Amino acid sequence: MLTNEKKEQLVSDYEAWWNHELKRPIIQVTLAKNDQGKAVSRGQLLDMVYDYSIPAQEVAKCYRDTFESQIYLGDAFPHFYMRSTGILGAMLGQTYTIDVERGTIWFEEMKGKELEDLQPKLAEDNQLYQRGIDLIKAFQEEFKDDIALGIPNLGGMMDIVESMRGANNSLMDLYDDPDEVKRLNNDIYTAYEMAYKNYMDIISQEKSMGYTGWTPLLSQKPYFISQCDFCCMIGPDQFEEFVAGTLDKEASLIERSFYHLDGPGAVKHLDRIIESGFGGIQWINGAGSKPIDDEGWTDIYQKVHNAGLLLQVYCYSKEELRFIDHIVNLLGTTEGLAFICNGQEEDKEIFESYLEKYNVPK
Amino acid sequence: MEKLNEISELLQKGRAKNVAILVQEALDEGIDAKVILSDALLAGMGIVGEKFKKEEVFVPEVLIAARAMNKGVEVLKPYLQDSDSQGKGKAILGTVKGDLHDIGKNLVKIMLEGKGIEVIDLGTDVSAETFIEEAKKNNADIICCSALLTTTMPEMKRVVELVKSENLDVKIMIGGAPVNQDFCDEIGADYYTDDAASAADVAKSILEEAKC
Repeated sequence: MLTNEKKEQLVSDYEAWWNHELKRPIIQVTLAKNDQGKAVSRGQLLDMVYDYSIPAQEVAKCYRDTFESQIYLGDAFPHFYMRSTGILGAMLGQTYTIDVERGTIWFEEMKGKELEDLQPKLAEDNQLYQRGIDLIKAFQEEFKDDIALGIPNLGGMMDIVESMRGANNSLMDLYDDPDEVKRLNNDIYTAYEMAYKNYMDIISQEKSMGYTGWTPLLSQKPYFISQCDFCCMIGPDQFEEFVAGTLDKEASLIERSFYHLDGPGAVKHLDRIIESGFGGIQWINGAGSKPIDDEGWTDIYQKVHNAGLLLQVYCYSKEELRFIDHIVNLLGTTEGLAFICNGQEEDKEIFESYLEKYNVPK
Repeated sequence: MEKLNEISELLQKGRAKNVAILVQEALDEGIDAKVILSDALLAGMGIVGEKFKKEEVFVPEVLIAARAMNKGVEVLKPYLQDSDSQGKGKAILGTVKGDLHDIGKNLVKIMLEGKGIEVIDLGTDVSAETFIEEAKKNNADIICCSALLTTTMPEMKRVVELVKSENLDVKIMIGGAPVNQDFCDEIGADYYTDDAASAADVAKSILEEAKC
């Protein structure tokens, strides 16, 4: 775990970064230790989180081994949130299957139900919703301000519509029954807003290192990252009709809002997303696509920067550290940028050299 | 022919009911079923595919156009039996094991059918063994594998290995967001395309080459 001095520095630097006052980039480096100790796999952790027979306190204790199996350098910090993307759909009635081997969860299509049959409402006593609360409280009790806490990864509204209806049905619905799609989207947003406010409220009640989210930026004010992967499949007109309004509401609800721009298919909507009022953009190029430092993505970085938004990208290995140089050189600044880097303990020196290069305290 | 153009236009707008009505009218006027299929339905779907490649239309428009095409084909079916209009070749299609995403696969199916290729859709979460088994059973010309998750891409390699070990005379096409030409070359698959419409173009050329 981190020293008090380090925690204070992180809190202070992140606050400066959110306020566009930090004169260096945020660079997080999280390295997997060679000796993983008693840490269990990502899939096993996921399984435990959803297993109601395991007390939340026990899950929190188990995470200690996971936190201790990592080295946190630069702006990295231990954190917890309840996976996985679109969990709100399960709180609203979707069934799910966990693939422990791959560490993934599938929220299943609500087959046999027509669009108008889907009238989701979030109940306070919903078991999964309550599990989210129990986990936050258990992690607060176990770790106090040693870690940052995020709310469960609720998901994007139209992504949940798609997940409930199945991809084909949801896309056809846009033509066949647009009003019902909007009604369902709105019902999900109502549940989202309730869950968001309640979870954030619980995080605020006890001391932790701060708020975080499924993308681990540290904040002393509520922070969450919005998304709509569904938008990759639709054009600008339908984006405006079915997605943009909800994103506007999310950007206004979330004090420190970010948007997850995922893959080439989403780029066509970037201008409208920026208009929504998000505080920052996360760019994911997508596996198989051209790398982060490809010239083809220059326009994205420049648009985000010129709009005065924060920008975050991932560096998934030591080989990808060059992305930091590329974006800094391209934009001519080290400010307003965050790089979340992962690697192995044996590459520690290489990562540390980048921290030194950009004046990031180790 | 005006009627055929009209069917094609309506298909592109996804007007399924109108397409079915006009196809019936065309038949009543004595237009050959095969001509209606190729010059109205498949031609219309071809235009949708081209517009999709150029990002002039998007996935929902492709889906509703495909639904309209299928409505038209339903009307034509009794008149097409014993004809060779669906005999352009056979493809096995599926999303690989561990992956439940299906929209990319479904688009490929639409585009292949739009080229008159018979598609056996195995759905999602399909093991390499099932691809091979179905390819043999159906005497397929092509196996098309789709994936959205990087974690499931190795299953495509297994398909290639099994095809080689069984010495099957079948081409393997791969696609999906995390897949690219480098990966295709690395695992020894035959073709990679980065969108569904291009996949259908490649499949068609494979089948035409096989006929030569």
